[in-house]
Amino acid sequence: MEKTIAVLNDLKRNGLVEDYAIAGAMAAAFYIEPALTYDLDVFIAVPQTVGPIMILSPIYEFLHNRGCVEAGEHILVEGVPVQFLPVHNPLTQEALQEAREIIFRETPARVLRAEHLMAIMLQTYRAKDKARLTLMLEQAEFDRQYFMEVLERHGLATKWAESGNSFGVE
Amino acid sequence: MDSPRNGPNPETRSAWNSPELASLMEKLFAAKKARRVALARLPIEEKVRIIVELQRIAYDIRSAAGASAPKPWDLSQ
Repeated sequence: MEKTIAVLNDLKRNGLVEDYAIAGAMAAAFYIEPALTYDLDVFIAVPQTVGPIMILSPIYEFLHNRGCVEAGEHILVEGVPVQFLPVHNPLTQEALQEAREIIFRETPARVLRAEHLMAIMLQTYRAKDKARLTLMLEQAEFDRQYFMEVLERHGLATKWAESGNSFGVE
Repeated sequence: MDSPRNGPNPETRSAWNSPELASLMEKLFAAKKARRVALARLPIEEKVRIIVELQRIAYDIRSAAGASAPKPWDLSQ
């Protein structure tokens, strides 16, 4: 996966994305026990000059030129199916901006903070999000006050209060 | 003898209600939880190795059952 991350860094270095951060199940794996997943979700912010319809085209062109091939909604980057997800609301935008810098082996990478990941799970709230959110609450080390601030900022505090009991938390 | 249809006999019911069994189960669940927290604290490199191993296991099982299965990541590339 280090090579995949290196390619993500190349995308940023070459100006194809303004920024990126690992999201989804793989980001959750940074905070909780490893679980089966098949893709690497990557949040991206693209330069303003790119219109919404063309948003992924330059990225895919760059990756095709490096020998990456498409597989359904993914593109295989160094053996890992990657799905690029443009930030699409204020929460995902903030999550990307405030992502953590980590080092994977010797390669720097950006990963969503646990608090944003949890807020996104609450916002999306599919069955798998609920399951992961439960595990995050049980296992992840996170800043509870910061998490509550994220929820307040993005209109999720009521949803949290209403659903909190089902996670066994206050 | 116990039967699923008639429920447990009185001896079994009594064993299920014993404080010793409750205590044992509590210890087992606590150990399970501790193991999962320990897994959560592994370095990300080790977690990725485990994820790929899980993908291989899932692939083998689904393939053996004749079901289509996503291929495990090929990190050797």
